[in-house]
Amino acid sequence: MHISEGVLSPPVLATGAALSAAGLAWGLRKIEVEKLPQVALMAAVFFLASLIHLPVGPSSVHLVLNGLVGLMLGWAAFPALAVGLALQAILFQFGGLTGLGVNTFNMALPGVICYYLFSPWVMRDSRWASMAAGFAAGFCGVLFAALLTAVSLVASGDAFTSAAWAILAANLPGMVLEGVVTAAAVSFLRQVKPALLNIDAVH
Amino acid sequence: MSERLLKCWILVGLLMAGLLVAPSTALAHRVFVYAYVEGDQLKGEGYFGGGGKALHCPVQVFDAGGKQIGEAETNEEGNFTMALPKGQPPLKVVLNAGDGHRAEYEMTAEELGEGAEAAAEQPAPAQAEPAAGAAAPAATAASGASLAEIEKVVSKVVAAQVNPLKAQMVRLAKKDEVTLRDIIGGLGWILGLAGLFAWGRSRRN
Repeated sequence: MHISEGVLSPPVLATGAALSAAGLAWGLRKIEVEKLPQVALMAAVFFLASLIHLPVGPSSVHLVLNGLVGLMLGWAAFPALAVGLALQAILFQFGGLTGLGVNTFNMALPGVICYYLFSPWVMRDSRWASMAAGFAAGFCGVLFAALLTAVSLVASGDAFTSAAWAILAANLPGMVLEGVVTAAAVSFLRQVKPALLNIDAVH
Repeated sequence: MSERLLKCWILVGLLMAGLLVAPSTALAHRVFVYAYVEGDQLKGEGYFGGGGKALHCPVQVFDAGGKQIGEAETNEEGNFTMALPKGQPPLKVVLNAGDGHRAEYEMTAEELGEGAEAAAEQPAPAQAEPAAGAAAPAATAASGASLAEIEKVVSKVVAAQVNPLKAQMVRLAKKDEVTLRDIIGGLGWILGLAGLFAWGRSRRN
């Protein structure tokens, strides 16, 4: 899902950069100083998650965790993922610096959407409801990111159907894996430290 | 309480399992391409960081002006072969692994040299041959092969020996692995940025 250097057209790169800058500005305003350590922690988790590869069939997928970051941070997912992606680009050569705006938007917006869709469910009394919400957030985080990636590629000239289907098929195992990991993390956090799951007061 | 503890350990176990798997397949999603000239052909290989081969991926070659001058697809082993495309160097070899993953490899005039020169200079040694032949007619006649032919065979054999080494050097230079230093450096940056942000906020208040 890290779109490489030189794949996207300049208008797509510019649009992604502008949208990400807006999300970043809004997200930074939303960070309260007391919540700052959590934002930094999730940036670190996201930064490292891409190194955890799990074998799935002949290929392997790596964790993204944008759904979990979104659930925990809300709009602050934008600065957290922007920092994580920038460091991945510089230190691991994942993606590239020119595509940073597009990649940030493609992964952070799904996180924010998951926050609005699923965080009310995560704090329900029923443990199963909150785990289901966690699974849905992990699954949809990758699903929406894959869709946005497909849109970015199509807007840069790829044939629509082939690009979209290839990306969805390639990421399906990742979606399930993310769902399971996010559900486990949510179930763990709500027992150990429930405050972490609704850090943003905005609903 | 014991159930909670158990879950703690399950989570830790899952993470450990993930990290154990990580080094072997790390960076499976970063793609590389490498190309070299062998005789009048352009050969190359596409692979993912960590060692996987890039199968059935389209490969395109562009000249210095950005015009496409060659096309191929990687086979079951991640290799591709095409007739050496003619164009103004440096040539750009681009492999598209789909899903927004793409790799580039630039071939300088120097790298193209062997094949391009062999193709271009073929008439030149032929012209030089009579002069050499005049100087030492016995030697050329005795070997039964012209200087140009010997040169061609030698360069072909040398290329076959040297190309795998070249491929290895490209891999080494392109650092396809994440080191502990990168990871710790990144975590340090995140800590530093958070500190910077907190400092900025505290000054404002």
